[in-house]
Amino acid sequence: MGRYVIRRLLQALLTLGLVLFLMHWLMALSVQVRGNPARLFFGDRTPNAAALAQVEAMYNLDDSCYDRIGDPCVMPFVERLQAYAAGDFGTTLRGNRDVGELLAISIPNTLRLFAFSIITLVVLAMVFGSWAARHRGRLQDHAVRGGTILVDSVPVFLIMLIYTSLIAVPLTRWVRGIFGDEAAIGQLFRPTYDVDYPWMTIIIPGLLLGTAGLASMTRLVRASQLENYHADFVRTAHAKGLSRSRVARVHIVRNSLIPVVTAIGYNFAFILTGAVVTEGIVQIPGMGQLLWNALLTTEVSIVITSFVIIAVVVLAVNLLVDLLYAVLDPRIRYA
Amino acid sequence: MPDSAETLPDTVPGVLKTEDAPQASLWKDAFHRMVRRVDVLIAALLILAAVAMALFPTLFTDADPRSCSGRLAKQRPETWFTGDHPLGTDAFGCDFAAKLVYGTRPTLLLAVTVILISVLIGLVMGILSGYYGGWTDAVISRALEVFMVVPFLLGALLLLALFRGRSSSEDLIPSVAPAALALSVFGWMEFARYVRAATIETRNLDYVAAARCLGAKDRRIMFRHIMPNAIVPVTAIVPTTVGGIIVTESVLAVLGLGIRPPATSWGILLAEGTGWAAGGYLYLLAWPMAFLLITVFAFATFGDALRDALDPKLR
Amino acid sequence: MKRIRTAAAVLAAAALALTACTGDPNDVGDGGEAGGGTVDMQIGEVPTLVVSDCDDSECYRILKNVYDGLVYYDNETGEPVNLVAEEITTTDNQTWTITIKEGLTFQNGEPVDAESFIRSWNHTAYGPNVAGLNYFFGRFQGYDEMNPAPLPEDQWADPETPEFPEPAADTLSGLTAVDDLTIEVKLVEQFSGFATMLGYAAFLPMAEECLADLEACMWNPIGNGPFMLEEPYVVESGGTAVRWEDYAGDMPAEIDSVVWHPYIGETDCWNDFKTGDIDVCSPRAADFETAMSDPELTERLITQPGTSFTALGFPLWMEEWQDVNLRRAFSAAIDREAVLTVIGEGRGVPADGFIPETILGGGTGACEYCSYDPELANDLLEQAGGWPEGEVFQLWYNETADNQTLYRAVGDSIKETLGIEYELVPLDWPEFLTARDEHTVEGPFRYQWGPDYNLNENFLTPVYGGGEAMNVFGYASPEFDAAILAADQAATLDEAIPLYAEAEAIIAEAMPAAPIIYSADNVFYSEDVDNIVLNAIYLGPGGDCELREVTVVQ
Repeated sequence: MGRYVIRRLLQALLTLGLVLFLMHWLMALSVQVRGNPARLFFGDRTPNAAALAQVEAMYNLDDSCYDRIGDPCVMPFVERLQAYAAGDFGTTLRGNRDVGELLAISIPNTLRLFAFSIITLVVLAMVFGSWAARHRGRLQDHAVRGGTILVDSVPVFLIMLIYTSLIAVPLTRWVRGIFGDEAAIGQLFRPTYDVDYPWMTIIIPGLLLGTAGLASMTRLVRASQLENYHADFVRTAHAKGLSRSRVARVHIVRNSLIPVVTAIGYNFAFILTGAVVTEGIVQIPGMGQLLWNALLTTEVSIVITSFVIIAVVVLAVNLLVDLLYAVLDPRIRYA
Repeated sequence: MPDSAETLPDTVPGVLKTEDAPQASLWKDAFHRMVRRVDVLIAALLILAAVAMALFPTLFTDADPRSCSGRLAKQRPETWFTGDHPLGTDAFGCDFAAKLVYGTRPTLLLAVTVILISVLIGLVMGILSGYYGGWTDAVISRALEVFMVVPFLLGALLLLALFRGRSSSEDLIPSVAPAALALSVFGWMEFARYVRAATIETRNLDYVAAARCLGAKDRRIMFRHIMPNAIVPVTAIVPTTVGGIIVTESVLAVLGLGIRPPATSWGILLAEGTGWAAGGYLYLLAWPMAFLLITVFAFATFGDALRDALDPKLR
Repeated sequence: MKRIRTAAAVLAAAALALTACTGDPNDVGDGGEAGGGTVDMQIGEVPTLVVSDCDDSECYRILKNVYDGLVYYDNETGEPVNLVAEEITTTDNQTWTITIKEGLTFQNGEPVDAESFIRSWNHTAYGPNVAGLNYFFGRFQGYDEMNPAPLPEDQWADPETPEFPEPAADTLSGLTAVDDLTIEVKLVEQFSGFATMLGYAAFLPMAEECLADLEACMWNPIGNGPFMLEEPYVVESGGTAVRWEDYAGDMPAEIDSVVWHPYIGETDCWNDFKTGDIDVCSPRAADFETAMSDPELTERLITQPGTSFTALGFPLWMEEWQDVNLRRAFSAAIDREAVLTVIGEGRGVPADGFIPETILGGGTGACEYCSYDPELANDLLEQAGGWPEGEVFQLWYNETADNQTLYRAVGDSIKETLGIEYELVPLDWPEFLTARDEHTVEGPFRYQWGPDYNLNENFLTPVYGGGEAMNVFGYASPEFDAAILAADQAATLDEAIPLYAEAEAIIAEAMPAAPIIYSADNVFYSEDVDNIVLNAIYLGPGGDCELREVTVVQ
């Protein structure tokens, strides 16, 4: 086990290094192709060459490699790595803000969004998946399958937009009409996120985001439960005379959690994508919005750091899931 | 979109342990299974209708989607399927029915292009790494992981945003190509994983070993024996993925990347429609949404059934 | 985003200088009892709250309430009225004497005196500080010593990177404190519009504590105005400013506090306005149309003719666009009514000239080819030798939803009329500006202009003047320059206005740009607020009002 963990860790580090370099190269290429983002510092004004050069130097964008298309810019890469090692994530070109601080603001918001969407996804998938498995081949099974596929066919952004522009406003006014303007429940259905109510106004977007990937998750739950229905230990439990519901609850549901745990790990990256759109529409100042705005304005430091964080999270989750697998399932042993 | 909730394919659907004849029977069996299901037939018909719209738009509308007059903007479809503008006009005064019909082609073309490129890369990478193992496998697996670490759509967003071109023309190829490339670059990994697993499983089968002993060349073994097996799991996820790409196109459109106006696609119509829907022009959102949902739903249903049909274990 | 066109302000007309110096302090504010309450405002992305870097409308919307400047532009007339300044005088338009009112302090207790202005201005003018508003001080004596030219190219270590000598001075030699409350400014040349400039962010004072720790001051400015920030402002989540109880100035606030809610990206305030969480909002096209058909909402709508002018600029440096008939053909091919139908009726009026009628001397209807006439357009195109078969033309603009809608409608109209296909070229704002300034745009492009001061001249000299290389159209005409010069030299304003109109007629003939629309400002406000005043010069996009005037309905 120990050797396996070390091997996986080394692999993950290598992957991370490759991702980092690839990102750096892409950004360098983008600067080379699209022109120097140092220009951003000046907003609308046409800077004189002097000021531009000063700003370029300030942001390490003055290396001549940025003028040669295709040059991987190794020196700035090394400098970036050194800065990361020192805990410095750089600053933004517009507003000269510390990227580390921006991340500290953004990440908790995104995590709260994720918490609600992951819970929604798992609960819905478990309920519908179990239901479908129990009524396998019958109308309920087909209804669940059709229903989840249909929900999955609706792009997340569309659900969000329809909610914010058509549903949220009348709903909020109705609820406030009953409970008053200041009631916490009156914030629940608001069309946009509000910093004063960081939990209430993030619940509904989280729930809606949680419907993404519902079909495959439900299918997974159903399949793994079906497998367990015919497993020996379930047959034994039935033979012992345990009630149907107890067998379903304890033996089948618990054992079919294993693949679900795995899937949550993989879904993490998937939901992150949905966060870009969701956060943009609902105005949550999270990772998704930060990254999206940075992409549009070629904020090199933010883009690279964000993708590195995503990579670290995905790699860590994958590793954790694999290890958890070994813990949960006694049949799996890594050597 | 790759089915990310799926675990690593420990067992690969449809990989058979015997020679070619049962391979053919697997397809035949799957086909028979599929045609017996009503939902599959309906889904297939809907897909055909969408394809027909993409190939022969003039069969469905006489109007020119690019002839727009601002004075006629946002005429509600009060005449219902008759008159000059059967579905009314859009926010720019173009015939809305024509926009919808002509929007099919870029949407589907993008999906098909991405699938073709991704499957091709996936097949090559998967077979190479599964068949040769060793260093080849190590390198390709690492590349796989590097790309897997970046979520599909985020990766595409990254490429499109960083290298977005300036002009947006109405010609088909230049308007579709950037999005197609970006999506393909981050879309091949799922296929490669399936193919790799299938290849490893097939490589060790008796008949492949026999073929090797008889002096068959690597290339022959890969094409003749391994490819037919590897293509099965890939086929099973293609329809679902096509649906996913259609959805992705609309996300890109909303974000202003991918296909861009004045060219048209379902995604662009959706993106434009959402703003007006709240303003009392619900049809501008409802129609493209219906087209998109029905098509994606059809692909997903078809894909779901195909997966079941090709994977005896899930039945 | 509407930007303050600061560069043009520096070129401000001599005409306004007279009114600027004679502003009566008693006109400002009515000093009534404060009414209390909180107002929720929308705001865009705020780049910074440092006085010396604030070059866009969003940061200035906060700063102009947290700080009191020397002058404030009048809400009705747009003329500068003394605020912190007691008196601004000059005898020769070159040496200016500014006296400051007594007894004013910053929110941290520091005095607002001559020194507080001088330290702020010197900080901004010092080259190595790379301050955003640095160029404002180009007219001051001693600016060149603080902003030296780069070293000769052969002395650079890296041939790509210019290097600079150490500036010879770190203070403006033309800026001195005569006594505690009197500033003397010496300009390089005579400039009668100097006082008009003083209402901009660059000329606000700075507290010593702020300059000592700019990092802290960046998001928590120490002002001298009627509002003070409670906590540092956060770009993503906004901030709250409360009324400063010890405010001793002339324009106090009525309300207790204002909360700024940022809307970054394409989402706007309209949904939150409808739920009552935002008090002042300007909807986009789609929502505007619904709102206008809702009698409950239109009761609380302020709509007034705007001051900005939107046009299709022509790249005169490209050979094909040098034919005036082609430009006229394009202009006559734009169905401006149709464009308005697309972007939302009521958001503007078709432009029939180059200066909105809200501007002194504007609304002349000088443009002969600004009405939609397909036949004329095709005739003109033929006279211009036609359009090459199969060639498309490009429309360049900076990428926002509204711009895209507008220029698509324009493109559609031209295409329908002349049968020429078009392509859209949306760029980032900085990228677009660079391309436009450097004349690398390859087709007709977006041009929008808003006034720095209330005179038709402001829509002419800074826009079409300066010669081929300077203006964005690449337009140069000795005839036009002569007409402007003649008007400049007119003895009185009344004589100058018709002379400037003659210059407009020259532009209408040459048509370096095809006018499209004059704007209209539409601001909805909630039941909770009252006394909504829009100041045309300060008005930000998306929904804005004068926070010193607004009151809360109890």
